[in-house]
Amino acid sequence: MFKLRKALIIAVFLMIGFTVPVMIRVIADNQMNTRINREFYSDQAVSFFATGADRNDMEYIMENMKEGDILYGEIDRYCRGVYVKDHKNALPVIEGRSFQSTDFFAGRKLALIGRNLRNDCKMINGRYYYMLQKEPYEVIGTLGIQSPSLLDNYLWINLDAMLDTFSPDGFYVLDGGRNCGRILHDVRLTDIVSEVRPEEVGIKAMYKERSTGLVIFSLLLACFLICASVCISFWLEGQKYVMTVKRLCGIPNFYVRLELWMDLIITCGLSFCCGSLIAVLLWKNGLPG
Amino acid sequence: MEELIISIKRAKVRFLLMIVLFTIVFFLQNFIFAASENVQSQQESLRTMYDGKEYFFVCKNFEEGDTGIFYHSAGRLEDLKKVHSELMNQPFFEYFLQIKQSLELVEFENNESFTVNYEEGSENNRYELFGQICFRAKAYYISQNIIDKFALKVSSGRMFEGEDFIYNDNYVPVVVGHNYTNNFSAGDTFQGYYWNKSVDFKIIGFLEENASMLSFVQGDPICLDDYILVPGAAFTDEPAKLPDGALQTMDERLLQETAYTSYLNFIITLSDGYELNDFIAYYDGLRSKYNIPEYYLAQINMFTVKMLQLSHTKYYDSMLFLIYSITLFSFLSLCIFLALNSLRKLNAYYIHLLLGAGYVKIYGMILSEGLFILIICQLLSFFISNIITGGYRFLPAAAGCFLFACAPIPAMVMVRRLTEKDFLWRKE
Repeated sequence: MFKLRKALIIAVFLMIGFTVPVMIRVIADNQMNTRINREFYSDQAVSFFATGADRNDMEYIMENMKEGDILYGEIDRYCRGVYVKDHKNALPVIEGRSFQSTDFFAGRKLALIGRNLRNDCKMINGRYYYMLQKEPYEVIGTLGIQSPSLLDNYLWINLDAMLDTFSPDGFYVLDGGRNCGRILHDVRLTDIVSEVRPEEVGIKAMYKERSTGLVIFSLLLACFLICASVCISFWLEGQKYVMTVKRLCGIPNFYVRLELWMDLIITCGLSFCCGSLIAVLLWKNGLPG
Repeated sequence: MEELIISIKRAKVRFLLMIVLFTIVFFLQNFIFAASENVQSQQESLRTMYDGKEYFFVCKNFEEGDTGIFYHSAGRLEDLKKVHSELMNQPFFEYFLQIKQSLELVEFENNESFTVNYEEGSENNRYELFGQICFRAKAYYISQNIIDKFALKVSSGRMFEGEDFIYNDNYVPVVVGHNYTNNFSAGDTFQGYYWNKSVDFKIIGFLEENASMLSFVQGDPICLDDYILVPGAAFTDEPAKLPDGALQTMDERLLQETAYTSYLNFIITLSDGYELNDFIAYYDGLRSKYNIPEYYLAQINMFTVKMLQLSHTKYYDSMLFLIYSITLFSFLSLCIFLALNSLRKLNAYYIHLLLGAGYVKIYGMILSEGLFILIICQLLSFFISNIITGGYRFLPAAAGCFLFACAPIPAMVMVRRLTEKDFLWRKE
């Protein structure tokens, strides 16, 4: 009976240890997938049309964006200009690097390409270049995640280079925090910029998805903790007589309790670590998530 | 019942924890099943959009000056009708018509959200046509097989039937997107232009909410909530002769010529055993026979749909695994909870036995505790699920009840195994 009680605690904490990393990975993967399927725009993204704008207007927006915000200027379905404000790893790359602050306004023409465009690159002086409108853009990285995704067909160039070649008028998306679109209400931009709600295409057109991963994770964890508390109380029930005997033998109450706590913490901690380790080992072999 | 109330009072906190645990478990079961059903239907929808076959866009390609010659040739309309008929009835390929073209509608003032470029911020979509104020509503001209291809269904009214794809003088039937339900009802008509001829459009049905289809030209699934589906109709009758002084908008010959010329822009998918060269040979033969202009052929890019098919299911598989795990652990917790409660109430049980009660009564007491928790939690999760997800799946609920109804068994077995000695020992 005693072994069964302890085995239950071990099983519950193994499961909690397994669940935490699996859920974190599953939620992160799902958020990334959802974002990629939605043209890599988050729910906070604000779309706008710029009409009669010049380069200075767009640079004004770029200067006044908040840290971590991203401004996309669409050239066509798969080609866009990108400006990232002070954020190094905002875009997922499988090779090379993402855009950095030093890449913008430095007179360079840089590109991130999807893996399907790799074959269209040219090598000049040991560097890869992608030709767009007869202009060579140095390839600094390959966009994408490990599995094939919509990112594989994209060509993203630095936005300042886009403004050198293309008209500043057009469709833009400002993505970032909740209030990232506040800059668009600036008096200087009211005549130039009009916020729009783009037509829903792709997954968005088919399925109104809610990001519920974190809520489910929290609820699952709460359930496991309740299960753990039940199992611990079951185990403690079995310990009552052992504790009484120890007290009768003259061991101070503090040490009896301390011993019990240590036993519990070591059992739970080790089980949790083992669960996490199993999860890590399994996903390295490509099983869960 | 009295025993049950006493038991709840004694183990208030544990009882509350059990209620919270099972309410969450039942709610999560229901939520994940609902979400998983949505994802499965979405995957099914993606599978109907892309079944692994290749699709090609065939488009007429007028060279400069060809248009006039094309339209003014004698017997042109008859030729176009024959071409259309032959394209529809041959074994080499399936012919799809899916033309994204705005529908010019009169008196459509209060429906700006259905007009072209509304989402792109276009504020004034009105324009004058033949002395009337018109609006360009978002629309797709489709052939009948598009409905089956994308499994489009109506939430009210009816879907297109065969005769809707044959033009009649009374009205042109249309099926509209779900968002039209706010302003219109089935049977409503609005005036507009069908291939340049003034006609009445009649709403025969409303598409289900979030109905979507693949836009072959865009290569992306599109939501049809704001769209009008218009039949690419065939014209069985000869066009009526235009009376003297009649408006161009009354011209039925122009209507038929415009329609059939538009039908030369179509999508094909090859039948099994045929190759693209078979289509080219067939269509070239048809073109030379009926003097059809040059055309271009482009393979439709299915990249987006292919990529969308790859993602999404994994997430819900993982969630389902975790929900099954927590269900199992909750079952064990309920077993433990009931067993612990029974251990604590051994004295009471023994008194019952001494007073002549059988074990069946003791079992009934244990079972009533378990069932009470289950019923309360199912009711709570039913209300929560209805508020959050708008529905409740009874299959997982029934499965949950069946499983958890077995939870008192360990407690019952434990009580049955105890002898009088155990009871008396406890008594001491």
